[in-house]
Amino acid sequence: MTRQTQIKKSLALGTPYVWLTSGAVAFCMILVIGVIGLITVRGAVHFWPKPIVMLNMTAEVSEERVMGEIAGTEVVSASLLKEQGIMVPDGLNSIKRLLIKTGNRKLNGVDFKWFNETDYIAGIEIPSNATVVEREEWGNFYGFINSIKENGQVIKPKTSLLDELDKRLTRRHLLVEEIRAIENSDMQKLNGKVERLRLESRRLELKGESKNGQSQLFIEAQLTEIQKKYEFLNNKLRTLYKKIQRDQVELLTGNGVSVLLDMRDIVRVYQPNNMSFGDKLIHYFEKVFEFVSEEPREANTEGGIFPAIFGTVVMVLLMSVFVTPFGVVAAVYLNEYAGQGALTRAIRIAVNNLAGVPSVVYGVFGLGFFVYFVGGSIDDLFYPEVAPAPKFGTPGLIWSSLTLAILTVPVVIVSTEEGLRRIPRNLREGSLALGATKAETLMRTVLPMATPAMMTGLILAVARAAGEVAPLMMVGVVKLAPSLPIDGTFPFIHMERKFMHMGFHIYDVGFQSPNVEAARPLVYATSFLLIIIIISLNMTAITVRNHLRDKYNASDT
Amino acid sequence: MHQTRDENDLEKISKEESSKTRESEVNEVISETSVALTVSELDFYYGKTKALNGINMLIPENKVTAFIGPSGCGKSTLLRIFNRMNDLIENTRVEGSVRLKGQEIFSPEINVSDLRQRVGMVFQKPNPFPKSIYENVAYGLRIQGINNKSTLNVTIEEALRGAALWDEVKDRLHENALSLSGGQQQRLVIARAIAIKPEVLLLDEPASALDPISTLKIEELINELKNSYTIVIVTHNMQQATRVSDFTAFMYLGDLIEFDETTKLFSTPAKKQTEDYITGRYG
Repeated sequence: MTRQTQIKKSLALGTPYVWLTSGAVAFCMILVIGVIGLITVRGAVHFWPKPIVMLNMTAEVSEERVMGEIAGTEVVSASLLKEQGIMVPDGLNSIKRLLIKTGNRKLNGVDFKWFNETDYIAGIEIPSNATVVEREEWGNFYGFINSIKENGQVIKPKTSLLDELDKRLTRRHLLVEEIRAIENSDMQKLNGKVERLRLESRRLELKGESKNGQSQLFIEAQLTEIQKKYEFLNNKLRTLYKKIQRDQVELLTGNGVSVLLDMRDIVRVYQPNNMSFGDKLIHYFEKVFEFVSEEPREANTEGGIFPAIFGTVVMVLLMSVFVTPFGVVAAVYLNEYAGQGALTRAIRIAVNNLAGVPSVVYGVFGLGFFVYFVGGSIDDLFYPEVAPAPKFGTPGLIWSSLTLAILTVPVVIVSTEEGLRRIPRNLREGSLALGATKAETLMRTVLPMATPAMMTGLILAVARAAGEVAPLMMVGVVKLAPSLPIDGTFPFIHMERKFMHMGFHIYDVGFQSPNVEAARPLVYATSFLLIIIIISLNMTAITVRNHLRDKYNASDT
Repeated sequence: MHQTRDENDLEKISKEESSKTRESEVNEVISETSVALTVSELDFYYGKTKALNGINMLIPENKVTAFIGPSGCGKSTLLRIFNRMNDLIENTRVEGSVRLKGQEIFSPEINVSDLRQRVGMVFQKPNPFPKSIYENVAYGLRIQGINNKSTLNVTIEEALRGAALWDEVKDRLHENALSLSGGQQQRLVIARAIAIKPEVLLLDEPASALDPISTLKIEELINELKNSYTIVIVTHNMQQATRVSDFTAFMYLGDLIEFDETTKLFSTPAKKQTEDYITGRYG
């Protein structure tokens, strides 16, 4: 057999094509796994406690010692450094340098700093009692615990300083919780009431009732009542604040500078170099839990992203509620009632093309139509008392959901139509032959059988909507929302509020953050979480769809 | 054996004459009982194609009438006219008249849904809804607004017994109807149709997708049902027509060639075309 016939034969058998196609699949798989793997690893590693190193500096550097976490390493060529005027010992072509998260921003002004290998030639230590202090503000502090002060007096604890500190931290956390409960719930409710009364009074004024009308006086009385309650809460807060200010802790930096920290600012204290694997694991899950359940701190670079998760999920669910009925009804008309002529074909093409319009265009449309026109009109008609501040005439959750609903409605229409078309003619005829009208046939047989297709449309819509960021920036997403769109104050669901969104959060933390180095791991962690949330939303919908398929589509046997 | 042209023509003329007399005979026979459907001068068009050509016939009450003929002869089209199923097909037109118990079914006063409740239909391929057996039979009743549980239970049992299916499914009424076998599904569809007590039952090749045993069961069922319903059945199978029907209509290319009592049509067909078809010379 010659080589040529061999090649011919293998081509005829299709072996090269099998290799080609399987190669393409393998390449796609590598890309997908690579993306998810990178995000997972980078995001997940962030919460693991890293060891604290102490660099002993050579004489040329101002500081003698630097403490911190190693955040990265890099090799730089010597010539480049020389150009920048940095001294490099002769005979070295390149120098390794370390990026150290030094923390202590209040002292140093920066969080992260590069150190060349030549600068810390004296060596690296890993001091066992090095302590990390996570604070509400100003980032981490790295140092050694020196003493604990109660009301300005140094106390002599029976246990170790760290244990004593932990005990006092628990007390601090309980107090903070109490304070937050008062500030975020009770006081917010009172504020809401005051605001409602103010609007009520303004409304009466607009109606022409005089300042001394009976209702106005009643409102006055209510306001004084609230003022009293407010005073009471304020007193309570004052005592709590006094209590929380009791403790202070004195720490020494690597250079031996003593720093006094108020206990009320401290979130967490730990000594990573002393921790066992189990301790680290516990610490890790604590941090992960904090990440998914707490509000962000420090311009979103610390703390959690709960409001963003909540906002994303609520927005997507609300969008589903808008888009499904709308898309289904449109598809039913197009497929069942409209005459199948040139006009219907043109409409169908137009609908398909809508799916290709850049999403930012929808954002502009949403801003112009929903926010300014619809929202503004609602304000003018129903809430004249809130003027000049808008209530609905400003970007908010409901407008974001509606904008995304318009963005995704073509997908729902197309897949619902596909589903309607696939329902066998003889089933429709079977229903009609029993005396059902066309509408009854639709409601009782055709639509239930098309639900799996509708779910497919919804799945695609959710997948698209959850990842959209560009249009949302115009119609409701903000960097930091003061309150969630659903909370305990009347009327509990505040669709007009602005909200946080994970996609925007990634952009904001990654690109708009004042502290880029600190924020980078959070970008990965947030991306990872966003993927998880989209996948779980989709999996839920897919499970529902498969269940429906089992129920209705067994007819092809 | 060789016939001259004259002889041939003579035979043709005598046959035509006899067929005329036979036609009036059968109409007399039917008129003696009572008439369920009266078809007169019925034309039907798919777009510009004429599918039915001046059909005239009487369909007797509480008898089984079979339509036979080669594919594309218009027998299914005629059947689907009786419950106005052809309304659903775009670009169709009907001329002439069909009267159900004297009432014109094409008149604007008639409500199509009401008509279809009076004229039930069973299709070639079993088409149960993807619901439970119970809900399938209840479908037509619920459409009529009957939702009373005890009424439903009684009617459904009656219908399933009527379709000779009750004993097989009584213990699993709430299972999906799609879990039944093809023959059971077809009987379920018949039960579904008779649950709303139609006056006429149209069967469009009801056994053509079934195995011989299921076919036999359906045929037995038809024999029982004819006591209470007027049945019109379209079939490809001439043996089936002889087994189940009292009257048979032979159609060819949109024309009603011959309509007679089944025994007469198959033993002594009045027309040459009929004879050729039933003896298998074309079709």
